[in-house]
Amino acid sequence: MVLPVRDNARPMIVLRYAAGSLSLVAALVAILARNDVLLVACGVVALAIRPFAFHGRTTWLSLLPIGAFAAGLALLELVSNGVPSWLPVRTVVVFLWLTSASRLWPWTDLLGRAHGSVFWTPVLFALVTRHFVHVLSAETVRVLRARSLQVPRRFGPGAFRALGWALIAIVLRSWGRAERFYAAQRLRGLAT
Amino acid sequence: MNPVLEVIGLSFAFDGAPALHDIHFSVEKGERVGIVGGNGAGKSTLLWCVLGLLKGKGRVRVFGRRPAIGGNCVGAVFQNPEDQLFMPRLIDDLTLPLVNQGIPPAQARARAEVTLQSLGLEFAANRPAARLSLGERKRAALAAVLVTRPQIIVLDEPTAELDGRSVRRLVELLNGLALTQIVASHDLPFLGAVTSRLLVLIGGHLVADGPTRALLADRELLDRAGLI
Repeated sequence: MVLPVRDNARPMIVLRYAAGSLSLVAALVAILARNDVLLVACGVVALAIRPFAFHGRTTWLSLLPIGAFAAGLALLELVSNGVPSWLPVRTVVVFLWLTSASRLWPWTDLLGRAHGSVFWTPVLFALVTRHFVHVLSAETVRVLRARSLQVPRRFGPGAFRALGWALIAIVLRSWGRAERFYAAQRLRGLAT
Repeated sequence: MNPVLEVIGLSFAFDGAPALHDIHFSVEKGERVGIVGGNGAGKSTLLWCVLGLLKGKGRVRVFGRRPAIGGNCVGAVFQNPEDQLFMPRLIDDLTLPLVNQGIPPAQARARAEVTLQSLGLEFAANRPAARLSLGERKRAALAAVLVTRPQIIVLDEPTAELDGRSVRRLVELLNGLALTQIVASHDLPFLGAVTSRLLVLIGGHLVADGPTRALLADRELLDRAGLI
């Protein structure tokens, strides 16, 4: 069951505030946790509640990029130190909680309440970040789809070179989109 | 007459690669000017210079002053509406720049609602822009600009990826606006419908500046510009 985004009934808004805030607290716990068992438990709970925040395939597919990033991080640590730390796991757990929080919070209600308060700028910043993550996700999906069309055999000749160029393309496109997004917000007077 | 926009000897290069060469033109109040050229001709670069987002050699003056980013007088509609709209509801996207300018929220909301209504988007006020069709999103981006009551609007490839009905709707909307309009596009029928004057760019050079109808009839010029 996914918590309905468009349900504006008071109990649902309260529930979404509670779930979003708890997710944020859990993300902080994951950042600060020095106990490995606590970190893993935090990750397991995050995975268990994920279906309440996301729809269908995106629930798990959206974990692929952060999973690849964490794996790369672990590999680098393995090469340099001989043993990976808990940093890659911590990264994934924090990502899980933050993405759930971003989905669970009732943004419209939050925006209305934050107006004129000290929370206005942080809420706007969070909204911009959230929007840009969506934009980047869409660009990533497009690039990876293009790659899979060009290289139907995932492990065939040239597959890894294509993946490398696809990742470079994602970085360059993200850069381009970030520039245009920033330019548009500057023209609206919302950025300096 | 006093032009609202003056571009004098504008040149621009990206990392040493020239994109615009010695461009001269001016735009009078209420004029509807199209900037046309093939891919990579410099249309968007010229617009970004006019908006003050890029600074080249030469002079750009909007109402006699350097372009002021974030000022009220020039509004820009980007090719991709997602670059402009990011709030949880479309109405918030429209009220935000007004509230940011110090307009009371209730007044800002009323103005946003009127703007949405005038563009036939009142049904979308409480939806996020991402849930609208591309045609609706383009109109929403235009609404987000018009709500600030600019004196000049600049549109970059407004018909890109739009279907025929959405293009017709956009033509009606733009023709109904009593504003100075500068439109960069390579959609010739669209430019024929919304502009009265055309600037033709080839490889960063301004090669023609004249009435839209006359220039659109010049097949040799359009061929040279890579437009047909």
